[in-house]
Amino acid sequence: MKRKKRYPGSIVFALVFFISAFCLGNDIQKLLPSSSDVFPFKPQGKLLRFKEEGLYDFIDGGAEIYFEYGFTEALSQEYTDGKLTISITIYLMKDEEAAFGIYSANRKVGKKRIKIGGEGVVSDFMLLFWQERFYVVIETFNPGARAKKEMIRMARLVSRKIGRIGAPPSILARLPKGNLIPGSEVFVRGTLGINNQFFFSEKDPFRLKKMGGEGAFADYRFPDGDRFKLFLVRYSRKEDVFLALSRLEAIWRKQGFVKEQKNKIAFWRYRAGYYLVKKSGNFLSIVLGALNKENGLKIINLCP
Amino acid sequence: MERTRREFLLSLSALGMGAVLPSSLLEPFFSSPSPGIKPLVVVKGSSPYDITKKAIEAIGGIKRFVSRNDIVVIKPNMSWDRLPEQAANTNPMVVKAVVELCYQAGAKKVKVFDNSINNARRCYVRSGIAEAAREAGADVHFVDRRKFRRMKVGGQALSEWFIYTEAVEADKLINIPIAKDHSLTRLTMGMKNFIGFCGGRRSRLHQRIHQVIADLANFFKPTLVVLDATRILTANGPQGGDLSYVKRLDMVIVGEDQVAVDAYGATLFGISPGDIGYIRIARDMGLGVMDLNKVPIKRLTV
Repeated sequence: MKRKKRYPGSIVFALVFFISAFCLGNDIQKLLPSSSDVFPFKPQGKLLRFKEEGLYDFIDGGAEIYFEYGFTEALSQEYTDGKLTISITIYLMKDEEAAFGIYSANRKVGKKRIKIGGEGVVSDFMLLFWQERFYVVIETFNPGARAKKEMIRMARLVSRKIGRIGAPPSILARLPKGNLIPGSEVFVRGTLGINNQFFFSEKDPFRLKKMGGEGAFADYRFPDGDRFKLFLVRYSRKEDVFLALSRLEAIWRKQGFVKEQKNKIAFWRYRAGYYLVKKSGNFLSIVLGALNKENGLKIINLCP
Repeated sequence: MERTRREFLLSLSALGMGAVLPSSLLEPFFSSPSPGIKPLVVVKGSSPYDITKKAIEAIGGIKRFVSRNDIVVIKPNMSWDRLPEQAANTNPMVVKAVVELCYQAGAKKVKVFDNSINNARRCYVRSGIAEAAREAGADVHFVDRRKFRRMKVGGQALSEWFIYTEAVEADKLINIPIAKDHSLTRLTMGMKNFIGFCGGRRSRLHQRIHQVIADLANFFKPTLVVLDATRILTANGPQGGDLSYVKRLDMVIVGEDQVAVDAYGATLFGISPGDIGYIRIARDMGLGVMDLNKVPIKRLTV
């Protein structure tokens, strides 16, 4: 009798699961513009779809950082009007933070920003934007004014279909605003994200993934020409801040960093740069390579 | 059946000539793990084709490396559906120059292929490599899945793997990578380029990626490495895409010591060679010299 009772529940659960998965898959595909949307362009070649580890077949080693952020599925479709070819790739990430994260890791400071979705950047060959759980890459091999205009048009079509914008990771709001270079903020969730911004060590001292932490980098520029990165880390437990800091100090000592001063803020020297570290509650703030100690101090004092 | 690269080649020789070649005859290709100090040549100039030819001439000429009737495999990076100016693949003119030189040295056949990540047809065409290499007479073909064979790599992380047989059957192997950023390994240059000879689920190779790369470098031991730094990809690698990630250096680096070539390549990105895991591991395995102070470097401008 018990078995009989269990079956209907399991079946309903399985049906709900498969129907949801099916609908979700279809929904992503619906985000791609149709022929009528993009006239005179029309889809060219087959739709490429990569789920979970299938992403390796699309970008091989480049996939690892997507997995670190949290990747679900990607679709890629090419469009052509006979003269111009444009491809749209939509990555469905695990959550909004992951979508912003991979976008922030791939955009480059100084590129022209455009208001599409949460934010986008555009150049001759590429347009990137993030919105809700999606990271969208639009590319062309025929650069020019028309290509750029068409890429923007297609991006707006995809953005409209996604609808909701979503919110960037809350840790970004904790980055000091003064002297920050706009568009330099990068959200990270693990070793690859960190090491692509600043190489600490292959032995990751922060272990964000394992400890459920998160981090944000940003670049700061001063009138005296000084330019450096700030790395802000937030853990869910205060103890993890101490553990990460002790691992970082051990690595830096091995690398030849010299600790010059230790008060509330620790000052380290390495070559010509100052490295400042402050821990406060669940936060760890690190200034990386300021040439002027005072500039570093100014920024780190504004950190949590 | 699992076989090492050496066993594989020896058995082929035996089949072809009715006798097993003395292993000493294979030494130029399968050099010992203590190669000694070998020089690097770095040539700068606006023509990728000219600087490549000049660099090979400066290292002693192609005849030092390629003999009459050799079957030569050239391994460019041709993995991405990208134009040459996007710096995700090897510059086609660098490949063309090497193919021409190999034929001038009397090579019987020069093969150019890569196990591309993106659609192979598109990669071959868009990169410009297929056209350029064919113009020079190379046999450019797509990878045939049936030609991957499980072989004994004998590495610390990679004891055996699916390797493309044509890559190991060649008499000479010339590695022609591009120097670029890589989100997983920080940089990809010569030693990492051998992943393009691997089949199977490549994701499994990523688990101990630095050791895997060093294992593959030890397995393949190229005759010559020509590192294309005419344009380097400084961010968003390996696939790149945006021109703002590309830096033009107008340079090629040529050497027999694959560790030294990659070490030099790392410095182009402002990275200390020792900070790249696979360079350090390869040095520790005795595959070459990482300390560039110990390497004679000949610098030329064309």
